[in-house]
Amino acid sequence: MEIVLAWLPRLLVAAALTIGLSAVVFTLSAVVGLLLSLVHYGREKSWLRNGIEAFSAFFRSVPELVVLFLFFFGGPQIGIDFGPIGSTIIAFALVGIAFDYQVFKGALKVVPFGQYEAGLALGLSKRIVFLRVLIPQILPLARKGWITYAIGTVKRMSIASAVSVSEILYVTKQGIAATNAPFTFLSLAVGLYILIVTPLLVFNERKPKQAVAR
Amino acid sequence: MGIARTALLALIAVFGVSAASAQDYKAALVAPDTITVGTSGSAPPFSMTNAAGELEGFDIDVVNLVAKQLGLTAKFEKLDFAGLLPGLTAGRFDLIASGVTRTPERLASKDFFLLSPYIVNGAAITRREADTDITSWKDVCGKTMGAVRGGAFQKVAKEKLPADCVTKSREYPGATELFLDLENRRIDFAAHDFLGPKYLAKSGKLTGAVTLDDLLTTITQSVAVSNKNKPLADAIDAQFETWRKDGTLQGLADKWFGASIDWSKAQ
Amino acid sequence: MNILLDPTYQQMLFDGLVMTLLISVVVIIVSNLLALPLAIYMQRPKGAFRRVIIGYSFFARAAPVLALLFALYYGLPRFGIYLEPVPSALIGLIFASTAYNLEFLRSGFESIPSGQLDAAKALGLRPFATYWKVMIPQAYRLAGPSLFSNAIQMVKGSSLASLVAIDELTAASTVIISETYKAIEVLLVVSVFYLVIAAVIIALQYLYESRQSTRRR
Repeated sequence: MEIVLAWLPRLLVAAALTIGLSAVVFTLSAVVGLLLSLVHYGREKSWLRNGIEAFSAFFRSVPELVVLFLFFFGGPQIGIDFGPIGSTIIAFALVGIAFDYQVFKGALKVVPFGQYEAGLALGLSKRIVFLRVLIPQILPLARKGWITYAIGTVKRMSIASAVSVSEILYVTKQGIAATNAPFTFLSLAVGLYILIVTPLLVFNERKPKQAVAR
Repeated sequence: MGIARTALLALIAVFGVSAASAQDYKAALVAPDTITVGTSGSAPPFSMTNAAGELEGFDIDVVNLVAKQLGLTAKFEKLDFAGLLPGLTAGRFDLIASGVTRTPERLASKDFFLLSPYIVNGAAITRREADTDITSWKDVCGKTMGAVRGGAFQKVAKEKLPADCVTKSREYPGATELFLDLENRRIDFAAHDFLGPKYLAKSGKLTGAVTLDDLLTTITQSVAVSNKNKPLADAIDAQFETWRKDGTLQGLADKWFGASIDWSKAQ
Repeated sequence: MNILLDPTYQQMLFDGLVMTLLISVVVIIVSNLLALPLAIYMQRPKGAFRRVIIGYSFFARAAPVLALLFALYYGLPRFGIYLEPVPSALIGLIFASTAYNLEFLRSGFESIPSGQLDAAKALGLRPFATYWKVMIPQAYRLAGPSLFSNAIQMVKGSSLASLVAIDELTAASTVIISETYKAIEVLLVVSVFYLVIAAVIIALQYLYESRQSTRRR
């Protein structure tokens, strides 16, 4: 039992790393996903949008583990070593962007296109229309989808253990190998994940404010 | 005076040259004055993680000795075995020290330098104590074999055993998972090295299993060096040559394996 | 691309693909079958198992799938239960997937205007018929996109089985990389396989949704 207690500080450090990495990834995913959803907004045909859709389809279909390996093992093949942490951030961010792009795209569909046209007709710049008219409306709409994905990101961080990132599950595996007490460690690990995820889950249940202006 | 001066100049030249070539290996290192080492941390007792989470083992000791000799700091990075050689080829590490078996393919490979042996070992069966029907490599046909992913033993077994002898096999990220599954009865035997599991049994880390003395073949192991750093490979090879003769490697073998190495078995 | 030409590697990739498909199909079908009765049960106002199901749903969605797989694989033997790797991974993935499908179906049921239930009762429809003809089709119409999306998630989840000693597609790629060092080529080929599987699921979704709109509401 004492050995297990000795691992607790290491697990907590791992938890901090999990939280940190997740925060970086889901922030990047949300910001870039939002920006991408606004690209060529309103255009009928856009090769750029088609490209973004293809990108989104790719990174939503391929397992995160494979994308991670692509950067971790593939990077050095072309001379760039992202390292475990770098590969994790890039891989998960790309997947996150692909998903969040869909979330924000869906939210944008709810806002009547007329508002955008009206804004432009009034002489407002595109930037102002985006910043002051569209984004404030899509944020509450997208919130549930975005946070659900953010919660998923925290859990998916466990996959980074496959490239030796010292996050919760990696340290857990080491603990199991060293002490031969799998159940104790896995319960601790799952407990930690639940602890981290619960505040986000609770926040997600709150009712969204009236979103679309009518 | 003339001869003395010439002798002095010659001495300086010799030292100068050897000093220069000795420093050549520093030029191609991944990080300055550091030797970046890839190891699995799950290949006991070559490379293991102890209860405090630190790396230790035969390989760790060898690398630390090498680093001291060459005036470098050793920095270890852990990665599952299957990722080590690709990582070396891709320039992530200077050196791999993880009980790398010297197979003909690896020795012929231009992707890295596999050095002269630092230990003599063998391909052995480890099975549960209770399974007395496996007494040697002749008895494994039809049984489920386990091996480490990316390792040498499944190939060695396939080559040396009759065709279709072993049809069911499982692969694992490391020796730790391999022996766990042996214990958990998901495989009938583990095809692995001889010294490793013997150490585990002796130190009480592996219970209820026995490693058979029947070796399918002798194997030798060593470290692999990045093909971008031939001076490093040569320097370490030279060290190994010295250490084989002066008993340093034997001393380490005594510490970690409690076995005496018969260097004549190494080709 | 010369890895594709090597028959040993072709065989490995093929075997891996078969295993991936096997795991994915079983998980998707079973988790959907299990989720429906659970979702229906949750429509009752009171029930002895409500708390249990809510607890299960929360736990299965909050715990990382990989941790669940490790628990089944490394933890169960402590209790004397020695599962083969494949059943163990199937149980873990089904455990997680059912919870998500359950939640999607629940949302589907809850979005049905209650007036319909009253109307059905007024028309004299027995509970079974109400469910079968009125509620289930609508719940699935609403939950459909999420269920299909979750199906793709489960295909991706099957790649985690490689980390518990199952030789599916991702595991095959690891072995090939360890021998050829051509990580990018191998992983791109494998990515294409997964893309195709996802595309098939999306095509099925499209078929399903087009069949729906031709029906009268």
